[in-house]
Amino acid sequence: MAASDPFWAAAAEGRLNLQWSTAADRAVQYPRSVSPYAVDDAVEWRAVTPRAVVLASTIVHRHSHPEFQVLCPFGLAVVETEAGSARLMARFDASLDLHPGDSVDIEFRGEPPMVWVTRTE
Amino acid sequence: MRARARITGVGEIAPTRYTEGETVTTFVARVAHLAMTDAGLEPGDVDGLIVQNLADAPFMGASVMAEYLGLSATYLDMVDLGGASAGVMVVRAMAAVHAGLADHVLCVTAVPNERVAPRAVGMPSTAAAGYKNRSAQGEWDVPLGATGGTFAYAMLAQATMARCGVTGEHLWQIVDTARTNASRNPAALLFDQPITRDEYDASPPTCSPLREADSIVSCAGAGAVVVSRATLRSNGAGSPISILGAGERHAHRGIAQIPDIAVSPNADACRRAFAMAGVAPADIEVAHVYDAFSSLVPRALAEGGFVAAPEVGAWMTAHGLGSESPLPVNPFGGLLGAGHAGVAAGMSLVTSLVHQLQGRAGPVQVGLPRLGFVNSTGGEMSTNVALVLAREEG
Repeated sequence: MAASDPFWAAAAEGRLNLQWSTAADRAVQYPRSVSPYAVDDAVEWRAVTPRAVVLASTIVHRHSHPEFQVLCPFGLAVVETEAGSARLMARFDASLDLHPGDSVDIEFRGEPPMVWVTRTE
Repeated sequence: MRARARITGVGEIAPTRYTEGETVTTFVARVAHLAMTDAGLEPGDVDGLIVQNLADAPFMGASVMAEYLGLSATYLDMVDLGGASAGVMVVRAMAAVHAGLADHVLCVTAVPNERVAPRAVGMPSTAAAGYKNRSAQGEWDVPLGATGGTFAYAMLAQATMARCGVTGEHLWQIVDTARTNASRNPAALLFDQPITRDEYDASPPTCSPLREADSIVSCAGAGAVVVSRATLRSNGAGSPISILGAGERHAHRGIAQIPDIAVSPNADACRRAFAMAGVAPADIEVAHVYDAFSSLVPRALAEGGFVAAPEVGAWMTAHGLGSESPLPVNPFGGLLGAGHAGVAAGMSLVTSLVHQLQGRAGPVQVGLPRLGFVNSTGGEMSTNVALVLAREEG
């Protein structure tokens, strides 16, 4: 079992579950086999509201790999969840004008699930 | 003689024929935690990491592992010397501590033996499945198309433009200066390839706000230096160039994990180099910065402490970056003008600066500077290093 299995299992059901550090009282994202915050840390999994803020964004117009070139233009954003300050890389639709500071909703699309964000209404 | 370095913690995992559900990453992490616990240290205390060649992370493995362990490091290394690796790691750690590069260096070796090869996790796409990297980036970034580096530097450019008063005009200025410098350097890849403003504006966008012309052209190349004990008489053809200061800071691997995208870990690498050198940014006469993307130049001016961040754009407009500037940047053409030979690109910044300080830069010589600065970054602004070099008289 990989440390990230619970994340993807919840994502497949449209839910955002994050590995959580009790010692630091914040999310561990990405989830891993040890805590990055403390050597003695009780790590658990929590369901959180899928709301985040955009820290950085870009529209990819050209990609060196053919599999991704056909998807251009597409958006990539680094977002930080409101709950737990988890950092995630996310895809967004290139027609969205997302900027740092924007509030976004995290959702999961595709099978297997991938992290997407849309602007919070 | 009192030792300058001591072993303060030990971690051991007893030998077994097989491990159960361990990857190299988890096994390294497990024994690393045992050593930190024994040392009475938390991840936040450990500022150095030395690893073996890591099967899960064939590229920048020490950076990948430092991020996984939650370390912010001023010393990272990888030792791949067979059976002597572990002992050599201790030597490297001793030297790092002795040189003031780090306080606590974790040296880790871990060899799992699984009955079944570990599966790649979270790699749904064809591209990602073919991607041998089983690191976090392989699971969380690659499937989204967040690969290739440009997207990350585009995000960094977004932050730079917001923080430093930098616009597309400044990006053009950087590219123009690089190509102009290259036109004076017969050894530069783009020596005979000037670019007009119209050509720059027509250059296709890659990842907003960057264009193809804002990025380097990859090429072949190589560079090497010899670093010698300062007390030895030099037989070198050029004046020996002193390494007055050096600094590193590596605090993340993937751009999603960068502590602060506005002020990257590079700022601390530069600060550490100047602190060791005992000189100020204002003393620097020529700067060689890692212009893999034009937008990295204003970031380096801010993070190197040369210009206050909000004033960088205005400073560039007022002073320029060429030979007439109070701070000439990359007079040899930089990576943008001279070419980017993969991992050798960073060495081209060092060797060309040494030539500049020695007065051996030929057609791109800018006066006879005595004090120079080199700043390089790797990955997704993941690894950062700064050097203060000087031609010392006598």
